[in-house]
Amino acid sequence: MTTNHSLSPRETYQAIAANIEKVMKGQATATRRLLAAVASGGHVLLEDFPGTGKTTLAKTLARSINVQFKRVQFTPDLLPSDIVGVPVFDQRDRQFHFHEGPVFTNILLADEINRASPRTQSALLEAMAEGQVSVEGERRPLAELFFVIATQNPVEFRGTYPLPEAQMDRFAMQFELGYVAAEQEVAILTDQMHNHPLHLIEPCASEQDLLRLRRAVTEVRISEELKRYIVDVVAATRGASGVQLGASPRASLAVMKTAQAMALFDGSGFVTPEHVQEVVTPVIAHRLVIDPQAKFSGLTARGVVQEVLRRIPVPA
Amino acid sequence: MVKMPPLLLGLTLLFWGWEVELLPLSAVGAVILELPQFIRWRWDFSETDMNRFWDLCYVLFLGAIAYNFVTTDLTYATFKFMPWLPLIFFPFVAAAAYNAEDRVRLSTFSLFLHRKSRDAASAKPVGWFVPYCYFAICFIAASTVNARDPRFYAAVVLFGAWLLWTIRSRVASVWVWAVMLIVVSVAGSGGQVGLTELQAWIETAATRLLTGSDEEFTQTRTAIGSMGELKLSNRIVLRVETNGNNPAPAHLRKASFIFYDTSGRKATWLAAGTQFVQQQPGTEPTTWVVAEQQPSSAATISMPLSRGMGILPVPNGPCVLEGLVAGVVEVNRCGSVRVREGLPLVRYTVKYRGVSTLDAQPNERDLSVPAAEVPALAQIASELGLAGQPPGEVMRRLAVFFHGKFTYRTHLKTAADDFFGQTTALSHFLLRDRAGHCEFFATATTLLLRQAGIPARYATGYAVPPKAASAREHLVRRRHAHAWVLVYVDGAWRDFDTTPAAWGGMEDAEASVFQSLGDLISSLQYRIAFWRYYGDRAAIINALLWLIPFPVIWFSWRLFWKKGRIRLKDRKQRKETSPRAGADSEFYLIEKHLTKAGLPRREGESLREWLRRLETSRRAGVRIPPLEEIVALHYAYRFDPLGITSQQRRELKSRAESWLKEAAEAVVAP
Repeated sequence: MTTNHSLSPRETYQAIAANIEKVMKGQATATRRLLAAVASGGHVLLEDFPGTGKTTLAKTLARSINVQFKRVQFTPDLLPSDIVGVPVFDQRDRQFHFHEGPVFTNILLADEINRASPRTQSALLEAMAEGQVSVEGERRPLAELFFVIATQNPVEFRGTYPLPEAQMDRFAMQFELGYVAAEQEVAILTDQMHNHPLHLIEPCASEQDLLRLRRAVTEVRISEELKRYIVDVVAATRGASGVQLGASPRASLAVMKTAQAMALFDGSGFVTPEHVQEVVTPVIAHRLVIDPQAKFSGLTARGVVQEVLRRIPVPA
Repeated sequence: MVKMPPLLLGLTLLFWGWEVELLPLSAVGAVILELPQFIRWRWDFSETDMNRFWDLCYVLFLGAIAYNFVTTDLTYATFKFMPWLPLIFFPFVAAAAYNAEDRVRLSTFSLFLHRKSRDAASAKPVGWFVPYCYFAICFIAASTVNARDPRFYAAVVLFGAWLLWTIRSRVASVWVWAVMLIVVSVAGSGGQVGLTELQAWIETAATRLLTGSDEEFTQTRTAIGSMGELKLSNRIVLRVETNGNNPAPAHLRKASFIFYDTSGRKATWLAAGTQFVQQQPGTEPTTWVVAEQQPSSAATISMPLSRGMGILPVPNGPCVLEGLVAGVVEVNRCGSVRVREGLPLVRYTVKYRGVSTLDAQPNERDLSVPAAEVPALAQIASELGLAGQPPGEVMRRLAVFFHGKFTYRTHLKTAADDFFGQTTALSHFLLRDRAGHCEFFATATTLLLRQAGIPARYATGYAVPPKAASAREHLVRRRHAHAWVLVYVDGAWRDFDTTPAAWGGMEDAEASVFQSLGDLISSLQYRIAFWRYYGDRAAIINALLWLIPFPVIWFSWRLFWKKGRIRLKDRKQRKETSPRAGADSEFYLIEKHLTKAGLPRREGESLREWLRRLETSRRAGVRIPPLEEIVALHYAYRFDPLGITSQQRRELKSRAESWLKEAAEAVVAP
């Protein structure tokens, strides 16, 4: 498929999803979530065990869209300047030129983000939140289409610096891929016998298509009642037992935006309760701080969110 | 926890009103509590407002206790305010019912946690908790007025079953539930009856145990024959006042005894004719005539009465007891006056004559002397030459004999040669030791009088000490307990005391250094009790009634006007903030139908999720016509802010109707 003619927002989604499906077998839910985050302008944190395809998913997305893509492998010795860039002295004209770091791109894959030091992490997270970086007192705006996919290994792994809750809050969504079914794993083996399917992928959407998709998402309608439902659900996480820190209003905003994106993907002009319920867990769970004692007794953030969903009456 | 079933709380309140005979009031309350089920507007109370409502109820509660304390006697009517509990807590419950936020924080119930309520730990919302507690309060309140009426237990079972029905486990069948309920209610009924009987049994047993089975007036065990130091406390037991400078009676008698029994380890005096006869109050309900004779003196006595029952010490020859607030006053032929259902502090003015006609006439029992004591008694009688002397002379000689040759001593000794019990303790006292305490003197005198042919009895009670120079009243202490003699001379019983007069002074000298402190506390207690039971009650109540509105007004002002916190969210405004578009969608009929068919939607379950669940039932053979398109239309109607066209609206309606028709047929032909 070529990008000569412009696609409708929904077609953009379908095209990209189909492209990713070629590489990522059996990850339709993850793909849908990832694209919801892309379309609503949020960033995504993938958390899973090594080898489940986090990086592949990110790369496939990047390749499917005809935009700039950069990747940073986070290591403990990575410095903030390695991400945002550094002024370099030019011998010829005897001036400093800013050498742009990998953050000046459209899609940035921050691989194993929790292996870098907190200082470096926060340099990236600032860029994510503000859409700009400040170097030597000079503001440098990032591209209009700027999307970060960060991956991290589960926090308990060795050699990791867990992201503080304030920074977790910057990610619109966090979800995992999980192991796929046996048949699908066989299909992966077959696919990759000769060639990685990733190399066969061709871009199917342009930057303009993606920006149009984002604008279209903001136009999806949502009723006051559902807004209230979102706020009720988010607020309920604050008072839930075993939760030290509940979700922020930023979480409510992210729920609404991603729900709008889901509605658009489904070809609906308005958000339904299902769309809200679909995104609540990946959007809210990672923002909660669970009381250590409750955690020890088996309470998980996801469990809290699901309990809240079960408890708060859904509009119908 | 689930919400309380509708109408249950209101009916519970009505039941309470029926029991306490406040039906109209409780009907108003019930309507107020149940109205929120049917109307949509709510008040927007903040957490602070709820705290204040609770505080208001708390103040009312404390006020009720204070009022109860002042106006009633705690021993009998401790819970006189209990029936009013639902009324006291009504403001808070009503506020919770009308609160827009359907929850109450646990911190509201503690004055200390109000300020800390920001803490997550203390701020658990417990909205369901309020109606349940109120439900219990109504029943507790109703239970305090219900007098052994089966309707109360029936109501408890009925309302309890109603409540339990709504939260029953769906795992077991209804029949299991019903059988268990019946078993529990029958067991509860049995337990309730058993409990009443157990209580009655414990009460009689405890009475017997605590009062020592009426021992006080049927027999008195003396210390005659035992050894060691006699110790009695300084506690003030009586306060005796007399008019002006009139002398106080020397002795206040509690009982008199006839038989001297030395068979036990300690000698014992036994009484006869101790059956009490109830007296009728006189012209005033607090005036009790105990003997028909002209009084010559009067004294006012105050004493604490435990459990409203006891023997009143009276001077010899009581005629009338005045100002005695008591249910029952009884006298017996031993000269004991017993009171029942009295105030914890009894205070009475006794008019007396000094010679008694209340006691039984003397007979040969009043002349009997135990054989073991005869040798010693006969020896003394002959030494004093009592035989053939007139009673006056006998008494004079005995008084001289005891005052001159005997000393008072609280330390008890037995004869060294009495190891085999050859001499009695009394003969040892009379012949050798010649020292002892009042029991020895009284016993010896009684028996010597009898030996001389004069009827005599052994009397116990208190000796009234002279009052301190500054004091208004004579303070009779525990250690002033005394024994003396009743002697029948000139057709009446008179007091006769041969104990050396030094005994009072001697015991005063031994008084503890803490006595003045103890007296102060005792005096304070007495004043408070006096104020409570004999103060100007009406004035206090009036003052209190005048004072009650002030805290209420102050509170209401703080609650409603000062902060201006309470906003009324009326129906219109609420509609703007939280509209419920498409509430008239026909889809709800379908939902209702399916709920009835046993496939209800769960609270947090969205429609499509529910449909997926229905899909599994459909696979299991239940016929449910497809719903997807109706749901899509319904959703557009409900959640699309743009709304739907009138054609779509009609389509939704017709599709829903045809679905219902189809479903109805499906039920007919499964």
